[in-house]
Amino acid sequence: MTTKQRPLKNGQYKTRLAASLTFAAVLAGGSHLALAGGAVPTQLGTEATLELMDTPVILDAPDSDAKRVYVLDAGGFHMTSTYYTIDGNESKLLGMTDAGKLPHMMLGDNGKFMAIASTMYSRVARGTRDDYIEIIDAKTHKPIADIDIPEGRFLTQVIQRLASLSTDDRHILFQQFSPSPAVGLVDLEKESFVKMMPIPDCYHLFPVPDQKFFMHCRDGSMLEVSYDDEGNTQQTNTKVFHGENDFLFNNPYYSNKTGHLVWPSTAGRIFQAKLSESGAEFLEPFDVFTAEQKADKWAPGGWQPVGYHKDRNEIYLLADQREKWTHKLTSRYVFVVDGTTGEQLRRIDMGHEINGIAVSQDAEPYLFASSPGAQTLYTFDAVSGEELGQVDELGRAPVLIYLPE
Amino acid sequence: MKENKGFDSTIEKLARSTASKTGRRGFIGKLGGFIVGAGLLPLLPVDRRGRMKEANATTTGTMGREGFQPQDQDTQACDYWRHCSIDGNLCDCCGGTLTSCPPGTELSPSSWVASCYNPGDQQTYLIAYRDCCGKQTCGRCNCLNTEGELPVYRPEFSNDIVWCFGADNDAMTYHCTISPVVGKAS
Repeated sequence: MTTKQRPLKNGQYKTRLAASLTFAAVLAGGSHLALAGGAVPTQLGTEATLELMDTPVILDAPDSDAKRVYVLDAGGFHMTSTYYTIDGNESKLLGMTDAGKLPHMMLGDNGKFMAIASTMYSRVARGTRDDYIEIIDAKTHKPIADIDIPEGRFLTQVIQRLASLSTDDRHILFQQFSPSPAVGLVDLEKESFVKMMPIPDCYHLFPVPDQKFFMHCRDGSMLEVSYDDEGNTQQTNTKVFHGENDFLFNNPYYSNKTGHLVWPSTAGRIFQAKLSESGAEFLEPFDVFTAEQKADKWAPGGWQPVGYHKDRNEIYLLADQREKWTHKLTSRYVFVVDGTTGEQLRRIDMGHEINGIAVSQDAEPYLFASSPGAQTLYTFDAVSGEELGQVDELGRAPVLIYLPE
Repeated sequence: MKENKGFDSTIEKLARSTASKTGRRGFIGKLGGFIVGAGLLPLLPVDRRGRMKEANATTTGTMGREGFQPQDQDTQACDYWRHCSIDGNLCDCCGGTLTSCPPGTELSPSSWVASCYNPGDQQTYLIAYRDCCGKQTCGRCNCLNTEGELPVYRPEFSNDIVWCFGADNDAMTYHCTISPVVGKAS
C-alpha cells in the first residue's frame, strides 16, 4: 500500500500532513461500510453499542522535544518489533509503533517524523520477503507514506547506523550485505527507491551535506561517497584512523546535524571525527581509563555504550569492571569525560544492569538508560546522576534508544 | 556329574523353610495383591515436578562479566565449551542437537567462526557456528557469549548478523544456532 502524501520539507510538512490525514480518515470511514470483518456485527444487541456519556477520542502525542525518547524492542531476532514513544520529561509512555524484523528507525525534521525500515514475511517467518520503509507522523503515530524497497536490508542485531536519513531529509540510505555490499538510495520526495549503489567492504552510514556520506571500512579507514540523484557515486578512502586490534563497538554516537562521530573501542579508547562535505577530520584519540583503572579491569560494555552532549562537550561511556571479551554484557556505571581532553569529570552509578544509553541535547540534559533484563527505561539527571524516573514493561528486551537532535 | 553339596543343601533348606511358612493359597493371594497394586500404582498422585523441570529447563551457564568459564558436560548450558561465541538460541534446546537443526528449519551453509577451548582434553578447536533458519526465533537457551567476537565490520567473527545466507527458500529468519567443529585450532 502506498499513500501519496509526504512531509519532507518544513514548509510543506503541515499542509501535506493535513491532506494525508484527511485522506486516511475518509478511507477508514469508507472501509467500515465495505469490509464485513471490521464492521459492527449485525447480531449484536443495543447493549453493545450504547451511547456514552463520556466521549472517547484518539489522542495525538504532544510535540516532540529534546527529551522525546523512542525505545526499540526487537525481541532479540523476533519477527516483529515495537518502538515505544516516551515523554522523557515525565517518564510517561505516549504510544507505540509496530515494525518488522530487525528494523531501523530514523528521526527526521527535528523529530516530526519517523522513518522505519522493516522486513516482513508473507507467512510469519517464511514465504515471500518484503522490505519497506514507513514514514510515521510523530504526533498521530499514523503512517503517512509507505515506500517499497528491494529485499536487501542487512539483517543484524539492531545497529542504528546501518540506515540513515540524509542531512536534509531528502534521501534515505540503507545498507545491503548480501549478495554483495551496496547502499540503497531512496528518494523521499518522490517516495521511490532509486538504486543499489555498489560499495566495497565497508559498514555504517554517516551522512554529511551535499549528497555525501561516510562509511567505516574493515581496514580502519573511512570511505567517502558522493552520489547524484540517479545513484551514481564517486568514492575515495580516508587515512586509516584506528588499528586493526582497536575493536570498535557496533553502535557509535553520530550527529547528522554536526557531523560529530564518537566511537569507543572495547578497550575504552575514544576515536572521534568531524565529518563534513569537505572531508573527515580525525581528532586525537584518548583512553578513558587510567592505567590503574585498567588494572582494576574497568572497560566499556553494552550494546549502545556511548552518548555525547554537544554544548557541554561531554562523552558518556557505559562501563564496568569486567574481563576481556565481555564487551556486549551490561554495565552499571557511566563515565563522563571531557570530549577534548578525555579528563574524567564524574562517574554515575546507575544501580541497574544497563545495555544502552543516550543523552538529551538540551541545557538540562537527561541520561536515558535501557535494561533488557528488567524491560525498563531509566532516567537520570545527566549532571547530578540522580535517578528521576523509569518506564517498565517495555516488551521483551528493549535495547536501542533514539533521541531527536 | 559334578557334585556341589553345599549349594544343593542351601537351596533345599531355603525351599523347606519357605514351604513350612507359606501355603499355596497365601502365595497366590500375595501375588494377586502385587499384580493389582502394580496396576493401581500409576493412578496414585506422583510428584512430577522434577520431570517438568527437566523438560522446561531454564537457560543455565549464562556468562557474566567474569568471562567465559567453559565446561564439557552439559551441551544445553550456555557455558558448554563449544558455545564460546554464540549470541542466540541453542538448537539443542529447540528440537535439534548440538550439530543438527530442528525439524522444519533450513540449515545455512555460511557461518561465523571462533576458537573455543575444551577443558575436557585441553585442546582449542575452531567452531563454525551455523544458524538454522526459516522459523520464528526459538527463544529457549538464549546465550550471549562473546569470546573472540568482533564488530560487524569484521563479519566472519561477528555473531550479531543473521547468518542465514544461502539457506533454502531464502529463509533469512533466525531460529537457533548449532556448534559444529571444523577441527583443532593450530
